[in-house]
Amino acid sequence: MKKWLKILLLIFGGLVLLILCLAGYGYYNYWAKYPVDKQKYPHEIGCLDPSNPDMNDEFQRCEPGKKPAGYYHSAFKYAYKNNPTKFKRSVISFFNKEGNYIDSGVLGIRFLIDCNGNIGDYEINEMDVNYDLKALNRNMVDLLLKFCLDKKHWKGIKDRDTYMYLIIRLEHGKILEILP
Amino acid sequence: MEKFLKYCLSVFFVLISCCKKSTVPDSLAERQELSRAIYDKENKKHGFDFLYQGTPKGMTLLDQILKLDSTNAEALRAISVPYLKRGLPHKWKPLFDSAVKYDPKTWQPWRGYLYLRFYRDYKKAIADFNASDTLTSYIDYPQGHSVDYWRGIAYLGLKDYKNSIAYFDKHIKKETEDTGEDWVELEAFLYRGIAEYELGNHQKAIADFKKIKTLFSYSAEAKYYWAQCLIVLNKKSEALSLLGEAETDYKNQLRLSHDYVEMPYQIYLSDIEALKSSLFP
Repeated sequence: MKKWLKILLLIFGGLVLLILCLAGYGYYNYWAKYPVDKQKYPHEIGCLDPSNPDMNDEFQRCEPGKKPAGYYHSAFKYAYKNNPTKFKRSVISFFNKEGNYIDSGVLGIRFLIDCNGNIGDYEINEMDVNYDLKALNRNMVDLLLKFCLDKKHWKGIKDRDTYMYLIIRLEHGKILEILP
Repeated sequence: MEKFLKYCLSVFFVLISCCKKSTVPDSLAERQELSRAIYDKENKKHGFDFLYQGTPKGMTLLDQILKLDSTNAEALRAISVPYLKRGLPHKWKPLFDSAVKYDPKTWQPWRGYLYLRFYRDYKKAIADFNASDTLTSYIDYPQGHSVDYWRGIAYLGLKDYKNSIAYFDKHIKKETEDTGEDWVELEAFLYRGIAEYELGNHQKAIADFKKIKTLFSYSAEAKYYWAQCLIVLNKKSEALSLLGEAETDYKNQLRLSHDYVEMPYQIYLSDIEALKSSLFP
């Protein structure tokens, strides 16, 4: 092989190697330097377990495996059939009529709405007034859960699942606030 | 060929030297410095507060930063926030409490703001805002508003309208002296006006709503609550006209709104329509 060709090939090979090294170094530094702890964080924070109970038997995720709409901070702007205020008023009115409890604390409910408006994969977290986990009155939780997760309050988005959460703050058996 | 092998060997040694194993420093001060440095560097790269927030990669990285220094308040705050936004208060609170523990001057007024915004936990919010008065010699501005402004909203939530008005008065006076009245937030006048309305001081409430119209021109809520005052004062025609303006402002998105939570006293189009139709049934 001619000498100039060898030199050319060496320069070309060297350049390719250099580019590969730089790209690898860049990738390592930007993305791969800190490997993911898949055992501790198998999914994004807030991801609901598909083995959680469903409120409606017909519930079926429309985009299984994909992040639902509103996964980042809930879909409170578009998940209600009416609006948040009307929903809150209806919960308070129902609870004041039906409920006769003395509990203080916080009830957290997280759930998905499938594209057909069915509710499922829900999770409940019962807390005291300082947001530490503590069981609340079982009947009261069931009453609120059944009313709040009634599909009449929620609407699905075409072809997408929707993530929603509710935080209900209670004091001496009265609802103080419902968020978000 | 021999030369080529030498070149390859050189490249190999260069690569080996680049990939030197990182070691964890022994001294606490060095680990704290490294923890802060990694946080700043990775935050610049990915932004812990944006779409990277709450991802397995982001959370693992924050874990590693906290492993180097478990008192890194900025990292404790960052790792807590996805739990806050996604409705998991029992997981958010212990992490954010740690951030407050290690840097109360920065994070206690912020925790007050988060209690107020995300949980409407007015009493806890006020306790944190009050604590910030003694922690720092200056007025804190969590999320860009003074603690007096936030206390005004918190007392309004508690239906303690007099205290609410007192804090809004203080806030508006200071901001007006510092930067001019046109730099005061619309919401400060709006919520003070609503507190006056709740107390039955309709003329004072109207003065605040008028101020909003003068300074900002548009606000669906200001016109809606102004109309409420006019209805009480039996000025139904004026109220109807204002509700028309409120409707236009609402449709033009000139209204209270927040991405994560419903705002206190936020209204909807149906509220304006219902009030309009109640005027002349």
